[in-house]
Amino acid sequence: MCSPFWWRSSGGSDYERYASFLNSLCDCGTIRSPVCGHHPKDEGFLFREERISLFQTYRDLFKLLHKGIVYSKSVSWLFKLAPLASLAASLIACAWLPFGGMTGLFSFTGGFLLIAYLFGAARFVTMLASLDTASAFEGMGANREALFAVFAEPALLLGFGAVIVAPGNSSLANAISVAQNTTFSDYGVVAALAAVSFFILALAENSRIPVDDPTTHLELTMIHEAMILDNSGPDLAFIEFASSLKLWFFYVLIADIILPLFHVGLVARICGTFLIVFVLAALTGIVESSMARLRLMKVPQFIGSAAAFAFIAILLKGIL
Amino acid sequence: MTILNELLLVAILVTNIALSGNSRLKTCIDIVSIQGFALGLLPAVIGLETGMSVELVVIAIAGIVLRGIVFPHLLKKSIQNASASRELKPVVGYFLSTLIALALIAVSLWLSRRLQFLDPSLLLFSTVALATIFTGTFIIVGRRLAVMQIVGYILLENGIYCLGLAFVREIPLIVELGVLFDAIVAVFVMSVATNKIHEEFEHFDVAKLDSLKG
Repeated sequence: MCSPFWWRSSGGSDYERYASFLNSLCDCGTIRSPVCGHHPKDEGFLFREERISLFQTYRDLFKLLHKGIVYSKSVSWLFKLAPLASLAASLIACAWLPFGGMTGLFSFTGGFLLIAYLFGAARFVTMLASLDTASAFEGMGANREALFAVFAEPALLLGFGAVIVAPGNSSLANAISVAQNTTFSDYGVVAALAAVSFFILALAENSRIPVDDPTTHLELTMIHEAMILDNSGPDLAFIEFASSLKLWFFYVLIADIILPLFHVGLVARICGTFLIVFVLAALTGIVESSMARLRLMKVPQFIGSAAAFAFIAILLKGIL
Repeated sequence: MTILNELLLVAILVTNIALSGNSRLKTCIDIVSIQGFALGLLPAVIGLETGMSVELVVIAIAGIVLRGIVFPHLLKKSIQNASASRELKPVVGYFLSTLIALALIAVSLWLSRRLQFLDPSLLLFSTVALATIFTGTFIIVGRRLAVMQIVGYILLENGIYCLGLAFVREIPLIVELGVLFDAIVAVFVMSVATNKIHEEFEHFDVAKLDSLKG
């Protein structure tokens, strides 16, 4: 019991665990910057005139951390706690994330359920804090966020089910090591369907364009942004960092699903993960540049399609 | 069972679900066209596996041209001067339809398992075929616009074709072409009939056909 991670259920050295976790911490911002760098004339990924630095998110975070916080007189301790709590939840969720064949910082049986609930908890505290401000707009944002969460969560769990559920296998890292022993035709279709499902979910959960327009200036059309209108300074920095961690989580998860199909070494897997993550970021950018936000009534159907893909993946898993 | 084969079959499954949840007539016709292409490519992919023959190539080309190009073209013609670009009041709502389509996939998987194939790779084939047949039947029952019912019929026909590919790999060319000819005549007659209905009544809502005019 020399390792501090004696409760782990699958292999991987401690060094790999730390590496994959630190990697999430360091890189989540770089992937967020090109996708959703905060730019006053943000016209999406394709039609943007000025290039945005990969480190723009870090610059923003740095700037925000050096500002003071303004609290409304009507808010309680809940509002002050929420940004920290949501950041903590996202950080713990990322600790489970396997990266390029390296297991996450933690991994144990049923860990994927914890991840789903951690993201749920982060969303819950953010919603509570936005209701705490007693602002009409923030309440409306929380209302919409809750509506979409109702559709997104079953889809997330179904997706995890498609990737993970197999005899004697119920942790995320295990699923990926099992997949490494399968051939393309055993697992390829299931992986493709699950990846599509998770990509739709990534757009929905991170409030990207077909679901929510993060750069909108109209409070009436905001969803996620409406909930954090009152946050400022370091609090806002925590929220931004948490959301970039979440985006990173989904992208790397998709890479983890696809990559085991190619039987390559550790270095190639890590490079491949970065490549897939950047391709996904570019895809998100293309979606954002070429589409408008869906009507609010259409959004449940859009998120439901993620659940449909995951459901087919689970069914096919029984056959293939 | 190669990955290509599986991808085509899953594409057919996904188009089924997309069809059952879509209200725009033009988009539905495009989806049917995609399904036609996937289905037309299937014999060619089977040929890659088991050895290409002239028959398979002819069947693949005929399938792609008819299911992927001719049928959608006929349907697009028949909605060209239509007043309605989307079906607003289907018998079964779109969200429920999607759920039913998913349930139909599960049912056809269960049925295919009951059939107990000797060759396990046929399981996916027959699941997809049965699911397409069921979804087609469901769309015929669940929609009011005549064009959508033709779409349902094409789905039904696609499913039967797929089932044929699953059970009898070597269908004689003449039978295959006969089936295709049958389908094209049916679709042709139905689109002409739809056009006539539209000329006469200014709509093609079949639910309104039993009320007398004049």
